[in-house]
Formats: sequence, structure tokens, C-alpha cells
Amino acid sequence: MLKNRLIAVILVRDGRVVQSVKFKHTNVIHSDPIHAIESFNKWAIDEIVVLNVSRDDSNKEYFVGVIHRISEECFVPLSVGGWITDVDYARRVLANGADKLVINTHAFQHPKFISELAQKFGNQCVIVSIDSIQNEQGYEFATIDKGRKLTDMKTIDWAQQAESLGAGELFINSIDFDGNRKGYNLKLLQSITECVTIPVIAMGGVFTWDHLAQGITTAGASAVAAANIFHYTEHSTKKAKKYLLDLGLNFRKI
Amino acid sequence: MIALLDYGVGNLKSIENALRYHHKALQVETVNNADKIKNYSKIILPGVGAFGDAIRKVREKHFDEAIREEIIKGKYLLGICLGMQMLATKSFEYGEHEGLNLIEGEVKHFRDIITDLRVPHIGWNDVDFVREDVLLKNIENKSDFYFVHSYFFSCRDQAHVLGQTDYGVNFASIVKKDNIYGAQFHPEKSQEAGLKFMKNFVEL
Repeated sequence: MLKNRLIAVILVRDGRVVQSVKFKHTNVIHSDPIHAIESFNKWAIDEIVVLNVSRDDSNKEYFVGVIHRISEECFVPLSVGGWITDVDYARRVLANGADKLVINTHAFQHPKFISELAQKFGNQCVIVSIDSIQNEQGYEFATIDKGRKLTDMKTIDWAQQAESLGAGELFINSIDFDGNRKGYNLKLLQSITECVTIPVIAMGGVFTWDHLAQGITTAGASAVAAANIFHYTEHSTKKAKKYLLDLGLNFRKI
Repeated sequence: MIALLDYGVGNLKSIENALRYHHKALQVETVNNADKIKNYSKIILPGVGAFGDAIRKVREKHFDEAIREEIIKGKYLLGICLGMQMLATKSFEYGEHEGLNLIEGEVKHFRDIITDLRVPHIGWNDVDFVREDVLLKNIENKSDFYFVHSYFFSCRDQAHVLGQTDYGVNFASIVKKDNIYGAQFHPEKSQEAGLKFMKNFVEL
């Protein structure tokens, strides 16, 4: 039986691991991303996502080197995103140890990019990330540029479009919930998991292990991801995994 | 010495890292020239991406002929993920493509069989070892391995199925015919179980 996945997200800004609160990336957690990987219990986490959240693309080559080093320590799937704007760069990210690509702003601006990557590397290699924000009327809209730019596309519509263009997975974050410690935006996630047939990864807002469980049981996500919480608790990934397994949820045993 | 066939796709570095995990001094090299394959004692055929594109590149590089020549000599071959699917007779991924036909079978889309599960099949799933094999030594039966694929290998002869996995359909997740092995999952990304699998392959 296929298991749900527990995913640790590492946000890298200018080569350093940072915390994210409402998409502001100011607190530096680790000066070297390799320390973040080492701090996880290697055997408890099911997948690692590393995102380059730098404000500009000036250090994207350095970031490839970071991926290269991380992959040497990483015997779980490694998904990588941030500033992937062409096939050549995507290929280099993969050649340096990434298994899957996470794309966001460029995919929104050039939807054909999703199909292009899917044809080159297979659908299973392409994760479309959507940063959603709620407007005053209560509707969820996609944003781009790390949440700084609002689009006129409803999150749910973009999710479905991304699937039809060839995305193999969706990575759904909620700006309103990011770093707010109240758990995932379950309503948003549920609306998406109900209308797409590809796996959905939940992200943003986890502060307790139960929040992770809610992502599976309430929202129907295939995988639950978090960033900050794994950096601040000792043996965090192992504790999270134990909690989820003790609830009887379907995760890979450690 | 292990040859890791490089035809422009796949995460070769992770495979290399995983092979060396238990054998620090192991000689493993990426090979992109078919003439050189004869210099190695084992061959790994990796692969991600689309079947048609991959098999075309394998043929362009004449890896297909070289592989055939080497396995006749008794050398071990391991196909990983798409590399395993390429061992099949044919694939129906975006059209119809001829495979290497080293293990008879067809590669089909999950959607042809199942409607109620999410595709791609991404994540950790258990492998039921249907028979004993030295490649599975010291690995607990029904261990979880990491899968990421939309197509699966349907073996013509059940005798070639070494491990099977349930995702709406019981598909062949490890195949074996004589000295030819294939794994649908990514052993290099499957932590302890995967690293043991790689260790066993090195020690064959």
C-alpha cells in the first residue's frame, strides 16, 4: 500500500537556511544547508524539498553547488526549486542530485514550461508550487514572485490547469497560514485534493504534529510538509513520524 | 567495476553515491561510450523521463547492442525505474515503442487499469518478495521503497517477477531473468532497504 509522506522543507536564501513567516525570509537558521540535513533524523524523513528563496537569481549557480553537496548526504528523494526558468538549468539541477523540480512563478508566466519539462523529464519530475492568498471576499487566488505579486487566477483553476499541462504533483502553500502556527489551510487544500487526480503536498502553518495529521485526514493530501518546526525541535522528524504512526496513519515505519 | 550508463537522462550521481555507501572504494564510472562497456563487470541502466525519448537515445549510443553482448557473457545488468521498463518488449507510453526485449512484457499506464487512485504513483510502497534471491539478502520482506512513475511493467511470464507491489493492480516492482535484473523503485532513494539492495548488487 502506498504510504503518505512526511516532507522536510529547507528554504535557502543567499546560500543560508532561513525561516519563513508569511513569506518573509529574515531569520537565518543555519549558515550552511548541509547542517540542516544533518540535523534531521536521516531515517525518519520521507522526502526533502530544498527551495532557493533568494530575492534575485544572482546566486543560482552557487545554489546548484548546494544541491550537489546535499545530495551526497541524502538517500531520500530530493525535490528542488527556485529560479528554475529554463530547461538547461533544470537539467543541471537534476544532474547535481535533484530528483524532482519545483516550479512556480516561471510556470505561471509561461504555462508551456510545465509541458516542456514534463516531456523532457517525465510528469513525475515536475512539481508545480502554488502560493495561495485569500482575498477580501474569501476567494483563494494564486500569487507569484514568492507571494509578492497577486494574480487574477483562482488557485483552484491554476491547480487544475497545471495538472492538465503535465504537472506530476502540486505543492500548495498558503500565505495567510505560512508561519502562523495554526496549521494548514485545510479548506483550500481539501478543495484542491478533491478536484485533481495527481498527488498534493500540503505546506505552510504547521506548529504541532497534529497539524501534519490534519493535512492527511481532513485535507486529503498525499504528503505533508513543514519547514520551521523541523529546525527548532530536537529529533523533530523522528518525533513527528512517531506521532503520525501512533495515530494509525499510513506512513512508512522507521 | 560498475558501468553506469549515461545517455543524458537520470540522476546518476545519486546512484553512484548509494553504490558507494557500503563500498567506499568501489569503482563505479559513468559511461557514455558503448565501446567501453566491455571493460566493466556489471552494468546499471538508469532512467527517468519518457520511454520513447530514452530508448531512442539508448539506441543512438548503441548501448542496446553492447548490453546484449555483455549479458551473454554472464555479466549482471540492473535496470532502474525507466531503465527497468526499457528491458520490456514494448511500451505504450505516448504511442508504441519497442523496448530491449530482454524480459518479455509490456509497459502500460496505471490509468488503463485503475481509476480511483492518484497517478503518478509517487511515494513509499512495500515490495512483496515473491521468491528468494541473493539480491534481496538481508532485506526484510515487504520493506518500503521509493517509487515515482505513471507506467508499470506487466511481465508476460510470472516466473520473471521477483517482487510485486500493489497500487490498484499488483505490478512487477522487481524483475529477474537469468543475470538481468530490474527495479521499478529507486533503490538509491530508498534509505536503508535501498542501500542494502545496492550493496547486494555490488556483491553479486
